[in-house]
Amino acid sequence: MPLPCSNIQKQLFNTNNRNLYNENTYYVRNKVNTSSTWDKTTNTVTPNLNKGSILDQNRTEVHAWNFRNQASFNRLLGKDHEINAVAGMEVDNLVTEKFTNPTSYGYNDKTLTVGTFPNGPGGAYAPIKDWQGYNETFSYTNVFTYTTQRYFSLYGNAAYTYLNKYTLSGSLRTDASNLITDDPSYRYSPFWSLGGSWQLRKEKFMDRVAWLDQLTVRFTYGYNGNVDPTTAFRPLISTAANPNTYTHDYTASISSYGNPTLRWEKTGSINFGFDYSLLGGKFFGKVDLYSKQGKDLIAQISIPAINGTTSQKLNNAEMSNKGIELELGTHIPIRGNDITWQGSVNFSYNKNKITNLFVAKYEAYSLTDGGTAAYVEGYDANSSWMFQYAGVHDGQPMIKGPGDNMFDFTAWTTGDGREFMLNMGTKVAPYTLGFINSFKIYDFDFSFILTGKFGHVFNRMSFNYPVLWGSRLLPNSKLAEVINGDPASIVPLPQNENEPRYYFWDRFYPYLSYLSENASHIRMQEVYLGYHLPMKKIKALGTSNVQVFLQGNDLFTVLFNDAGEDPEYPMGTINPAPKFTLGVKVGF
Amino acid sequence: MRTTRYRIKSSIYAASALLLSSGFLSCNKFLDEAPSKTTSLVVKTTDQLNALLNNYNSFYQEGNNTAVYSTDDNGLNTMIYDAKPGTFTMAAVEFSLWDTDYLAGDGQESFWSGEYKKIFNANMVLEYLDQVSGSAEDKAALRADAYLIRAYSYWTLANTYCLPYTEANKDEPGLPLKTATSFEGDQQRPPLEKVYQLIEADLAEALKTTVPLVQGGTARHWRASTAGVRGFAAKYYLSRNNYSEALAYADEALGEYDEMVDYNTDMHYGIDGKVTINAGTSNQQTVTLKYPYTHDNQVDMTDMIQWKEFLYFRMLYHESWWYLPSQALLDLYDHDHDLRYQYHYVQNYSYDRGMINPAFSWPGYVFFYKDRLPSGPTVAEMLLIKAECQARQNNVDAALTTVNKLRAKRMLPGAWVNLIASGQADALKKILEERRRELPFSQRWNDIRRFNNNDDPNDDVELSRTFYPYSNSNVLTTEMVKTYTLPKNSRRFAAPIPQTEITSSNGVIKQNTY
Repeated sequence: MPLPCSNIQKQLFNTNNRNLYNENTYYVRNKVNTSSTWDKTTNTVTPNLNKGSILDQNRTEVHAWNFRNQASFNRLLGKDHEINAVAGMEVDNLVTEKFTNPTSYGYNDKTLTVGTFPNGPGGAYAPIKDWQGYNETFSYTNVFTYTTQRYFSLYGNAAYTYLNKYTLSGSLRTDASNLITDDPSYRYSPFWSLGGSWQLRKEKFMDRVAWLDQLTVRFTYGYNGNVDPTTAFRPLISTAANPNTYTHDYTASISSYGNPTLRWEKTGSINFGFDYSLLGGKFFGKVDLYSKQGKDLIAQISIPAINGTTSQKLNNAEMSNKGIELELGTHIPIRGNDITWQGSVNFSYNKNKITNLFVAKYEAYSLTDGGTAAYVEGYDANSSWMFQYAGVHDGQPMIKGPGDNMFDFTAWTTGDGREFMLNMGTKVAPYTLGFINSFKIYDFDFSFILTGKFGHVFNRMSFNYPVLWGSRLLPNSKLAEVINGDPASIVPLPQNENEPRYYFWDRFYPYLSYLSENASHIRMQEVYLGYHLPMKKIKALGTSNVQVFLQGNDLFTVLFNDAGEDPEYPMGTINPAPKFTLGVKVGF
Repeated sequence: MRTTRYRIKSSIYAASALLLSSGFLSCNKFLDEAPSKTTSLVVKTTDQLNALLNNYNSFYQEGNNTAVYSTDDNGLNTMIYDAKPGTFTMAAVEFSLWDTDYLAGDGQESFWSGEYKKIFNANMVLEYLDQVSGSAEDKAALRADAYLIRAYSYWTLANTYCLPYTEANKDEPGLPLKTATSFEGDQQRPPLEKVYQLIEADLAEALKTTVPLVQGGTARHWRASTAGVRGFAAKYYLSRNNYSEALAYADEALGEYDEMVDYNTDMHYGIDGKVTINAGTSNQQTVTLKYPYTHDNQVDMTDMIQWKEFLYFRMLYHESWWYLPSQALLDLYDHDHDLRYQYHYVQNYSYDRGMINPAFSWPGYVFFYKDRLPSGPTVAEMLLIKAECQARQNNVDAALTTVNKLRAKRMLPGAWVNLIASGQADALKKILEERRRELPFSQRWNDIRRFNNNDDPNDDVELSRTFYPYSNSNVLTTEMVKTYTLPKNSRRFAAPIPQTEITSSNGVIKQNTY
């Protein structure tokens, strides 16, 4: 029987912000004083704001509703045929309205009276001046914003199983949103997959393999899409809610330069795997192999400025991801229920490669900046491209260029970055490991969680080569390695008294190959030791279960780089410090 | 029994199928709701297009480093450079010396991309005009406005990146011509002739405007108007050495609007600057810098919008904040009676630029804040165009009368106000000097280009500057100075196009050759 199920939900959120500055606060006194006009020849001061408190208010209202329908169908046809199907739809609507009131000057919270602008709010046609003689203007209009997010999904899955062993399944799904487009059909994303599984262990010929409890072989082929809602086919504009202060005209500006060739990103994936269980559930786990081929992926490409913008997202990259995921779990009673060991290991490996992308030439800065602009055909999408330092020549630190050429740090490099930059490896770990173990030994529980990431690189902190035009010079902690270092192997301080383009060095010094380090690391995420109080002895307490525990989190990290820096928490950010918790859990 | 059950079942199927499919069908409408009422909007009305063009911030600035540095108005020399080399970027040096080796790769050049952004805005308006709702009158005004923006930008780009438009140069490389918002289309540089054909066609469309400059007592110079378009037409034809057309349009513009700022009554000093020089030495002292009031506000646009002389709102923008006048430019002024000298030439401005220890004194040309000065057509410029054209047509008395009208608003009253001339050549010489006094930096580059390509050999200008050699990264101050020149017919009258354009177009956009 199909089982329909409907669900409607409505939500309303209100946020009110009210900032009241009392008349006697520094903020109000300063604002009233400095906004007054001071005629220095006659030495008269004319206030442009009334005395009194200053009140700022804004209010946000979110209206949301959600409507869901689902029907499921499960049926056995005779003994050998089984059908399971689910279909559904979901509609979401979310409206956010924000109301910002203009600042009330000269407000009195007791009488609720407000002040005026004694000399007007300023502007081109009735200018007023502040105490120093600069023109000033006061905003006096409300500001409103109104946004709507709408989503629609439609999905269906169906599976047919024969003899409890052979299953064929398929699914279809579309997700749509109110993104801006000329072609409504463009909104609906296509997702589908087909799959089959075979419960191998249930075959007669497997009966001889007694140690095998379960073995299921799975295969799926699927296809999904992705759309970038930040770009649109057509150029779009944004309008300012308030008229321009000086001309009193309403204004707008281009917010998107449009992209008529925009289309869906498409990814096809093949997945092959099996689930297993051995020796009466003592060992279990699964193995998955996958291959994903993405095409029409969006990459940020530099385009000539004659188009009104210098870069645009274009659907022209192809990418592959291939990998394996392994999971092995154990549940072993070592001595009945008194001593048990539960463990699980996850391991995964992924290989990423840009398989097709034509870019005529890569500027070095595109490669160092990363992102989709640094996609290079034949390389990992997250490759770390670095300059090779070539020492100091003629008083200028240099990097290696194509052939015997060198570039100094005072101008952008010329030529194709791929010709002279080094690919240090991927910035995203290809190997990940998770290791969880828990032991029960009579009344004691002991467990720990280890995670690891391997095979990737990161850039350690560089000296910051601070420029002098700020009010203070703030060198970072790497100054010593620069001062004591050999200028042939590390960029020294400027060598010349006058270095007119020293400010340009920051395009180079953070991207030198000597900063690249192994990012592999292992983290001890959690260690837990608990003791169950023997309940028989303390029955008087009326509790059924009391456990004392000591838990440690983020206890240590094993690093594999010489700099001693945590690749995921760069210097200057807060590293996860060890945390200890001592506690009692009581159950009644 | 059995059949009934199936019937119930199938009706439930039908109901759910209906529910799902009806959901799907009504969905297009449901999803047509715009994500926001203020951002990421599809243009649907003329009001929206008007809002786009009302946003003068998208249009009024021209970060034209060629105008700022590449003429004899710029006073950069070794003495000033040595006073504090850190004041000057390599780009400043390279533009001053008409560099052809490193400028393209400088990466700081924003003039090219800035003008093409304006062209995109104009194309956007033109593309949407036929699709949006709004009155025919609104659409006509928008159309003319967008054509003016496009003509103006192509003209100012051509003046910078292309050789002067002459019979001999008409097949020289022009500018990539974008007339639509699409990224597709030809990126190649067509012959210069094609660029000028487009400018003239666009100008003809812009001239169809019927919108007056003054509306409701306000001169709306940030939008195209009959006076504004004619002002641009006068500039354009002057740059083409077509004096009769230039004169006609200048006259028409002045016929509509000729309000002027009288420096005797309307100009005054603003907020003083105070700088301590030679700190820590026996010569330590605090110096007061006297600025015109127009210097006071950097962000507040009141004084700029209110400047009475704009026919169309455009300003030259200087990223390093020092219009550095040459001695030759300073010598052109009557220091005692010319109020432009008094207010716009801020003495000791070099202190504000950091030349304080040891102190080195040199003035700066200051108009709006430290970085902007009017470059769009103004009443003053119309008078100067008119006077010059009258002089070139040998109408000497009328020419002097015209130019003296301007001088009366710029000089202290007295016998020195009225220029007198011994003949046509003398009158022309004096009018061109007046032009340089009134419009330094903003018009000089264009003027030199047209002087060197008209029939009059007397007004030709050869540029030269003595300075240190330099590399990509450094001025080589220890080496012998040398003389850099920009001869009359130099190919360097076309500035190098940013290298990024050549790269990102895969070489379709070609660099100028020298």
